[in-house]
Amino acid sequence: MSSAALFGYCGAVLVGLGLYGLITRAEVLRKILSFNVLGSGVFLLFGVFARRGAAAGLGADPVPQALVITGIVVAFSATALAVALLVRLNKETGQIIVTPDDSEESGEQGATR
Amino acid sequence: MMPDTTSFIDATTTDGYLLVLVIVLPVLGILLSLALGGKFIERITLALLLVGLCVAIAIFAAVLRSDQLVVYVVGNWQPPLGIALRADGISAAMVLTIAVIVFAIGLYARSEFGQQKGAAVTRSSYAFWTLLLGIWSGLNAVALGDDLFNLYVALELLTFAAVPLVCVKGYEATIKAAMRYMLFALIGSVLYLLGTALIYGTYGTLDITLLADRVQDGRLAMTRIALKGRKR
Repeated sequence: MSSAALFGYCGAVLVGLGLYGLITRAEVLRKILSFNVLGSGVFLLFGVFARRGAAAGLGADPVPQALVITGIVVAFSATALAVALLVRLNKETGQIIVTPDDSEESGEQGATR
Repeated sequence: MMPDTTSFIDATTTDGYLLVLVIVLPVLGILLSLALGGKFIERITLALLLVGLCVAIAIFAAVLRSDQLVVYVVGNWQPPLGIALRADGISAAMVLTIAVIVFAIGLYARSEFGQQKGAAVTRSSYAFWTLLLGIWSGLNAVALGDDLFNLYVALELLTFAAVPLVCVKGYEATIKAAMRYMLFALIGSVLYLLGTALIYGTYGTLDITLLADRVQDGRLAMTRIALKGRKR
């Protein structure tokens, strides 16, 4: 197995783990962490494509690397905004998950944890 | 994959600067309002909305009159390495629609977020006018971008402006709505980025017009159907 293929599989596993966490976990912080795992998998895949696209004596195609740097900055800002929003949500409601609107009255779903 | 430069060479058309103007004008307003500390922010925003509406009409008229694309090649770097802004009929129509709607929102919001004469600007109205300009710039970038990764950045800019705008009042219900929106936007954006990575890995370009030519029948044939709709 070439190193590019190995990293490709690693990226695919990270994407799968992140998606699983995003879907199955209710807590917002876990969702944000899963998003970061998923994002890391996507960035790794960009690295693999850079390696595969190597040409003209260069070790790798520089374009995906430029995209990864931008992507990391954007993912970082998104994480910061989401965490700030979560802190505010927790201050206002005392909750760490986003409850459905219709269950607000009964209070059975998403009790304070 | 080596860039294929022989396919066709883009050139900035004479009215291509309008495309830059319609994206940069709102950003200029945000910078001005930051520099002035929120003074005159309502008047600056409304003035810019009016100017932006005129620019959008000019773009629409240019596309309609010449029956050609309005193109701006950023920094004169040719795609596939560079990034182009293109306005075809539907992009121009979208930019015009966005300008009309944002202008109407600006007029309507004066009653809620307007500044009293001489009074200091409140936090929520300062946030509202700044974010309205931000969302407008993001929407224009989405409508005019012709590069898949550029579209990703524009979508993220749109999210970052739209999420705080949802909870600008700070009520509990609006914060919950914003949190939900943010989570969906996070998932959507990262999956879009994954798709961008796969397309780049397969075809070696992110420029939508070049992609429409390069995508052949196969696994991504559906993508071709989506991309071929763009007129050259």
